[in-house]
Amino acid sequence: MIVPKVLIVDDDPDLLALMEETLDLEGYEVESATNGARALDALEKGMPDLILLDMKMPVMDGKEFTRRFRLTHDHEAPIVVVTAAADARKSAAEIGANGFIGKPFDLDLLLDTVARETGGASARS
Amino acid sequence: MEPLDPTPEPHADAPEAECPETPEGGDVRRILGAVRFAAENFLTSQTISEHIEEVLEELGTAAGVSRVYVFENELAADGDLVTCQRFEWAAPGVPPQIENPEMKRMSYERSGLEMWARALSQGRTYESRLGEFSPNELAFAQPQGIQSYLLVPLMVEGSWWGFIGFDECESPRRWCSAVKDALQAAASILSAAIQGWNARREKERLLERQRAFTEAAWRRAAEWEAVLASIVDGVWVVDTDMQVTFANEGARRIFDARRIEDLLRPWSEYAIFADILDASENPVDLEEMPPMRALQGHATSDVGTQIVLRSKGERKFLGLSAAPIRDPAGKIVGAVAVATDRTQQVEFGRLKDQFIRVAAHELKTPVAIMKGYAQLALRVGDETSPAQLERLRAIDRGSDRIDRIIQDLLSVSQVYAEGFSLQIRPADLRELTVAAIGSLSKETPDRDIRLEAPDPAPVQVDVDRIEYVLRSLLDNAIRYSPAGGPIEVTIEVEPKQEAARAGGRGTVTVSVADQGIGIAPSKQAQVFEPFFRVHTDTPYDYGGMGVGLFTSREIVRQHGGSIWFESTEGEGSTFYFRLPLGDGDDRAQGVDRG
Repeated sequence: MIVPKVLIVDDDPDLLALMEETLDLEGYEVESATNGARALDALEKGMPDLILLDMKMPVMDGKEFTRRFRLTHDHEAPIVVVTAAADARKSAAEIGANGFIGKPFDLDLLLDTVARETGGASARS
Repeated sequence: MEPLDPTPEPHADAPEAECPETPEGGDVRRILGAVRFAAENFLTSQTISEHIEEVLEELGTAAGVSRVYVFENELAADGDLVTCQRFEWAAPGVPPQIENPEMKRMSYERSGLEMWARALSQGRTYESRLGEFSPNELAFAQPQGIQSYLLVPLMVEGSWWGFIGFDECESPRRWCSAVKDALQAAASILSAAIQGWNARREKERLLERQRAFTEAAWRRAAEWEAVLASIVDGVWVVDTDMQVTFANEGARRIFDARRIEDLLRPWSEYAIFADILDASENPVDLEEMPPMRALQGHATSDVGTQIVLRSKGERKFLGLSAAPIRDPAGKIVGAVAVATDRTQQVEFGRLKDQFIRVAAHELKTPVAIMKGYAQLALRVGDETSPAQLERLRAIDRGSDRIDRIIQDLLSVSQVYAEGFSLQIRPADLRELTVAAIGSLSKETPDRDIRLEAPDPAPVQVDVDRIEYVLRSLLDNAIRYSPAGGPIEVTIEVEPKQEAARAGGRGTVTVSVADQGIGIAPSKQAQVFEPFFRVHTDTPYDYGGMGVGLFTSREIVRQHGGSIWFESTEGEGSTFYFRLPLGDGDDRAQGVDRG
């Protein structure tokens, strides 16, 4: 069974750890990056099945990351924007994301969204 | 020497005496010489006291008398006519009477000298001599050593000013007519001089008063200038040709003109100083601005105006007021305009809004962490005690309440941004409602929200703010019917022709009905108060700041509408709001939400 891989991009270490731990417990393979530039580096190791993307980050923000990501990769992993609710909807539309999660979020919502975007099956079935 | 007349006659005019060629002839020539001296001096002197004593001496010496004196009349407070000795010349060896207290102020009547008043007031001379004196005359003549005397009236501007008198202390002399004529000539000169001095004094008094008035007027003008120069607001005065005739320092500062004089030009030329925009940042027609409307009789107050200075590109926010200036007949002769610079307030308000937005935004991540970890701990809590699990659930609920407050902060700061100035556009309230229901349904997919709206509902509204109202009502309906049940939304349009209320204007009414917990009667009166939350400390307390309905009411009222509700505790609530119908513009814009 292939374990879906999720790339989490967020500059807040606590939130990052929270999402990592939650997805890890659910059996996903998790990669994390604290800004857009490091996220691009992480992509060198291989394309994930889903990218959870914060928008406001230092060095390179979510919008810039998406632009470069689309320029340099043919096969595109789905992106779900994870950011403050007022911006989430608009930001998701702006970058053509597959969906958005507003902060703060229920863990159930996070897990359902990840399950949906990675093909409907979680690692632990 | 003249023989004494044995029969005393107490008359004003004594019988005419013979005028021998000398010495009386010499008397007359000398008196006329003194008259010429008087004329030369009096008519050039500035006041009565200048030269008078010289003249009296000249006259007295020429007439060969013992004393010459001038008395001025005065009306006492009780209406009694009194006379006061003003000037005197006494021949050498004759005691002067100028310091005599009785002479200082003498009542004609009380001193028994009415006969003086009778004669003199009619312009006739009066004379008397020892042997003809009345007892009263004797009473004052004897102590002064007077043997005969002659009084000549001084008539100034047709009224009896006083008299000039001549005392003879050496003999009871009778005055011959030629001498009397000459002395009367002297009296006429003196009267004329008095008239001239009075006139000059009056003129000086008038000039002084005029000076005082002018000074007061200048002072008042200077005060107003100082007031206008020091007030912060800009003040303009415009005439009926729309020409600016006055501007103060505040006005110069506002438009960043080099000199106040630069502002004194036709109002229509003010575009050289700045772009002038209305509150919605559209260019404003200078003819429609408050000063112009004031010239037509309409006073306006605090009209929001923006200017962008050509000199620096600086943007200023002004509140412009104007009122007509009317003359005493009520005709409009100009207008006064006042501009208050609100830039600092506006910028501070924007900063405050930004502060709230940024703070709310920044709070979201820490709250997400709190909530996330509480839920994570609950998830992996197989070995956690029930008590501990309950604590974690409390943290989870608490973070939801913080989240609600954050949402309120963000939406309210947007609603109150720009000082609550509405951006009105045509829209279809039905489309806006459909969109609001759509977005809420996405957030709470398990709730059934039904819409009954057979007709389109064109309105003129601030779209973002009406959306806030719709969301607030729908949100409340969802939250306060936790047991479920449909939420029914209706839109009713009452066209102009059928509307009987509000002067026949058409209306559209939206209602949002839930079947939830309702509102207790004791709390219904406070529902629209700011920060009032109906369900504080109840199981239905979902947090938040309690501003949703207060703000919604503000918005609805600003649109000229009304908002109200009906509610039964335990059964549910229905909230209504009504707005004026728009002008049936079919090209209404719906909401564009990506």
